[in-house]
Amino acid sequence: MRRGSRKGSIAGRFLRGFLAGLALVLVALSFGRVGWRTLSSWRNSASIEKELVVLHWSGEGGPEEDAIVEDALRAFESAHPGVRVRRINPGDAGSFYAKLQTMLASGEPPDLFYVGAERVASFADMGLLEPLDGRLEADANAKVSDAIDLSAFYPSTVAAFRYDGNRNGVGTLYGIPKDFTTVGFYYNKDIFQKAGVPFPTDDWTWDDYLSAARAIAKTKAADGENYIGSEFVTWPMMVRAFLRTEGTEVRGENFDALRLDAPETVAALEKLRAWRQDEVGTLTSGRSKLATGAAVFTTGRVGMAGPFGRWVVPEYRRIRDFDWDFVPLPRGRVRANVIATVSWSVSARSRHKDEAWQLLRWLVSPSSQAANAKLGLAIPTIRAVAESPAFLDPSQKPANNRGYLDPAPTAEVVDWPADPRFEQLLGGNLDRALKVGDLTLPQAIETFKIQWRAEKESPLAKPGFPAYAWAPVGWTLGVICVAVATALGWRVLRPQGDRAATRETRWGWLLASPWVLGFVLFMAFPIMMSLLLSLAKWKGVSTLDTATFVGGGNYAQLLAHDPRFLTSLKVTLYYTLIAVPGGQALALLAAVLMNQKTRGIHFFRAAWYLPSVLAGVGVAVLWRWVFDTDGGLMNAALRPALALVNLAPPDWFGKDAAAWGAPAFAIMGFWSVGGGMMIYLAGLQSVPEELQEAARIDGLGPVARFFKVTLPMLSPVILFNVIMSIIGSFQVFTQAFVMTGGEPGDLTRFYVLYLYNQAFEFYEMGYASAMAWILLLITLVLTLLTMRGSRGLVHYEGLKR
Amino acid sequence: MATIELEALGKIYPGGVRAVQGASLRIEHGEFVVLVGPSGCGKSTLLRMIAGLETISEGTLTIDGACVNDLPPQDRDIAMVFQNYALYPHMDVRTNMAFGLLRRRRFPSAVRALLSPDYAANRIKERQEIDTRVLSAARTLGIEHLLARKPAALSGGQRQRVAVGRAMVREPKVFLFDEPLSNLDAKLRVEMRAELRMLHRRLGATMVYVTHDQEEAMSLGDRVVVLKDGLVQQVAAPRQVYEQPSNRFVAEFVGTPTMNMILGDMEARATGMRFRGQGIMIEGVLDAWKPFIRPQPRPVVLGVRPEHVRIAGGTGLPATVEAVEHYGDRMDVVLHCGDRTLTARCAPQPLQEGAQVAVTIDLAQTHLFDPDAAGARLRA
Repeated sequence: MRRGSRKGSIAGRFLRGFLAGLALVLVALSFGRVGWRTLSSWRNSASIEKELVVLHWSGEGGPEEDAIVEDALRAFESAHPGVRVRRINPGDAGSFYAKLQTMLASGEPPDLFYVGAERVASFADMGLLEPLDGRLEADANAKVSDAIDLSAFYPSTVAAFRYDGNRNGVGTLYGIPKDFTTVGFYYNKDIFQKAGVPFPTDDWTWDDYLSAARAIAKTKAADGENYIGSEFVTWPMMVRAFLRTEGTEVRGENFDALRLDAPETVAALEKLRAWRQDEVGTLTSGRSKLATGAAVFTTGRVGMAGPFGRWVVPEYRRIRDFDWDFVPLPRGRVRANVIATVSWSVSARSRHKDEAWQLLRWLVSPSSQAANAKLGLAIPTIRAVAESPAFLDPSQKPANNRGYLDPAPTAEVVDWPADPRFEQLLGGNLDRALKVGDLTLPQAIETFKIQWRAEKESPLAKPGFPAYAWAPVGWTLGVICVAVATALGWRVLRPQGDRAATRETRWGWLLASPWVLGFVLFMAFPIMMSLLLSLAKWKGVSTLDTATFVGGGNYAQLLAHDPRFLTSLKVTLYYTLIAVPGGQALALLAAVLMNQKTRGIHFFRAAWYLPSVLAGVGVAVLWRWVFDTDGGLMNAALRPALALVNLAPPDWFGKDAAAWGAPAFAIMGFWSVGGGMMIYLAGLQSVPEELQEAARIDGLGPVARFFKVTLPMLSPVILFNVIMSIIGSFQVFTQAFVMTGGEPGDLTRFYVLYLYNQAFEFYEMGYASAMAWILLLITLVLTLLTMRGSRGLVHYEGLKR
Repeated sequence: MATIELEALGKIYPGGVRAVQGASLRIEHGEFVVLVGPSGCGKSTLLRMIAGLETISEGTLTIDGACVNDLPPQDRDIAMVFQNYALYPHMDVRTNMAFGLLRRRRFPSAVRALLSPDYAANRIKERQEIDTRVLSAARTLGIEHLLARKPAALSGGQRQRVAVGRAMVREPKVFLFDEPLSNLDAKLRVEMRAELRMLHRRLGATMVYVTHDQEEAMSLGDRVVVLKDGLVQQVAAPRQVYEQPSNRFVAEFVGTPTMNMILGDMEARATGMRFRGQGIMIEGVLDAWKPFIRPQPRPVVLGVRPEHVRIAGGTGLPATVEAVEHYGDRMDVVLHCGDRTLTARCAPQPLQEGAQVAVTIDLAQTHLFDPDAAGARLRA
């Protein structure tokens, strides 16, 4: 016996030692990587070779654009020995800005990166961009061989990157435009011929546009369905493009003086609304993100689509079923067009600004632009390149390349104020009138004005908050944390009376240390930071030292002055009200079905559970087709059934979004009740068979047995599932982000989606942190209420044996 | 009170396993019948078929002259006590006991109120009656003070009483018990056994009781049904089962320590019967065996209950004491005798392990069985 236990303890010691070693290696590895990076960045700064980091995207340009940028950078490297360029391409524009934000916030910004004209004002306001006028001048004075000659550029593309602290178009230059586009409509030549409508010309008017759309709407396709006249995307930028052709605008001299409710603006918008809402088949507009405007055209069922820029061309060049061409924006009371453009800009915090500027010159040079033009994606900003065969390629569609170039000299960029909320508020509210149709135009404008005023007059928007006192706060907290950690460490590690017990405890903590460290670094620390940040105003794209202290300001603003916050809360609660009871009832029902002893039941259990393990984004993409109003599976199934009672299926994310938007997400959630089902199934199988038999002998039928015996026995499981599902319902994000982006208006803007908007689109990290803490409180309160309220209904006795 | 009649009852599970076959039995009014057998013998299946929890594959089951083969449990007017008590954990004892009565309603209260003008009054009367029945059953079982508790707060014995009480308040035609005492400790089991016996006498109800414990079967049953491999081996009063086991299996299953079984030959000689086998020879005069024991030796299995193996001082079969178990009032002695061991039970006496003793066996107190697999009892 003695020998046996001795042997066991040697083996046990070996195992423990091995595990402890493994844990230490893991910890060392995970921290070693960070250390190595820091070390190599030091070495890098010390060495002669300089590394530039370039951040860009290649959304519509795809792998070709990626390759072109790569080629240009490698060419630059070989022309400039001593400079290395590291390229980062996160994918599409959305991922690009997310990556940019994290790089900026971590204080390691890329040296050179894309900036869309619409972001120049906000980025410049935050001091992220290097002013370039001085460098241009210096180059000119030094007579650098590849100095940038701004006069060779389309002037409006350059103006787009000027900002004077108040408005775009004038002032300091913050980027050199790499390419641009004007906008107009793409039209399906085959449909035009079928409808007997002449092809549009470059000087067509909105009346021409409308009569073409109406004629097409009356024409039938081969399958007997009518064509749709035109897809008109009501993106805020395009609405403003339309307004400009009508000689009006939403802003006056600047964004402090809005002209949104000026009679001519309202009249123009009203025209757009009437085309879309009061006529059948003339205009459609991406009812949500379900079908983005660009893709609608490729179906061959719409006569025209727009206003789009050049960026849809790579996609449309793959169209084989019909012939198409481009025509610039129609003329209204005046001829006007807008440009969209992206620049290369230098980070204000770059460590190698000179090299970055060299690289910028290289990337916007005529030869680089010519290489880029091959994509067909955008127009070179240097006029001579744009007018050259590099862009005007007659072998490729569209034939009407001049349609893009001719409006360029007079087209102007659509500028936005530094506060990115303006665009989202304007777009969201106008969509309620133009696209959804649940608000009248004056109502929509009024709502926008109220919301925008709330943003502008928010006490948080005013300057004068003190800088966040990170040093004292950090030191205080640091000291407290160290003290607490020491005290706790002493408590658990101090010698106990029994030596074996002491060793046991110390080994235990050593083995658990990777988790403890991970928890402290990746959970406790961020949680603490978010609590501190919720008292701050901090733009997530600058470093923490720029944060200001606003006290409870974020909370006060949220609870008292943010109507969108309340809307998102309402939407989420509405969803919870449907998703939780419905989902739980379904999960329980499914579990009862899956509890039958039938042949092949394992297959059915797996099949029911399967949706719960599918990736969120993929599922969301799938469901957005299911809920498509016209072509979706859901409505195809509902239509015949509802037709019997003379009802039409809902326009889920369109005009019925107020009533049906959130429920659609709940219905979608019902698809993945498998997780809850499994827990219920486990619960059901732990209800003793004898109880069922006793109940049978006591004279209970199957239904009575379920309600009188099974359900009470299951009640602790139900409580658990309900609480988990309530918590889950407040965290809806992926589906809404992918399927609707919160639209139309704010009708599907769930709580966490709004939080995301604040954090990653408006860069209001403090505000978003406050939202996160309020969310925590809400779920906490709801959980406590549920537990209190269910006290008499939950029987834990069944769990005791 | 009721009579139950089983006619060639059989249970075949999907897959062809025959759990019970050809079980025939008539249980009289007020009789206490115990089904006993080793695990897997089909006793529980048989009980559950009577309860209606298992379908009947073949044969007929009659309660009070009516065939109940296809009646669901609730319509058979039976009550059952389960091995794990099967008390509803979420109800207090009172509700547990009353539950079977409360649930016997066809329509929701509101509808009944509309249908019958006296509904409210009847309802109150009904409730009072239920309360009375629960209370009187609780009093009988001595669990009045537990009525407000939940099962989790009760001891095993208390739960057992509640389970019995739940059956009592139903006042069923038949009580069914499925190994109700097997989860209790030994002392409590003996106590409860006596209580059940008394309860049966007081209620005079027909009871069918399943156990794997032959002692429990013998002490409780008016009659005992011994089962093996789905087949009924013997149906008889406990004493008869003990004294005249119908075959080797019953003989060995009933009684502790187990009956000694000696393989050998039996022959009739001029002086009487003579048995020889496994190094043991016994002679004696026994006229009763004459009809089937001839002068030619016949292979038999001789069964001797331990209490009939006498340890004598003088002459007899020489044996060595191998082990001794003292029980105070008696002792069991394991002896080596001939080529095998024999177990003897006797009054306490000073015996050492290894002591040489003489053993006598009276042939008149032995049992004879066929040496074949069935091992039928040989006797007129």
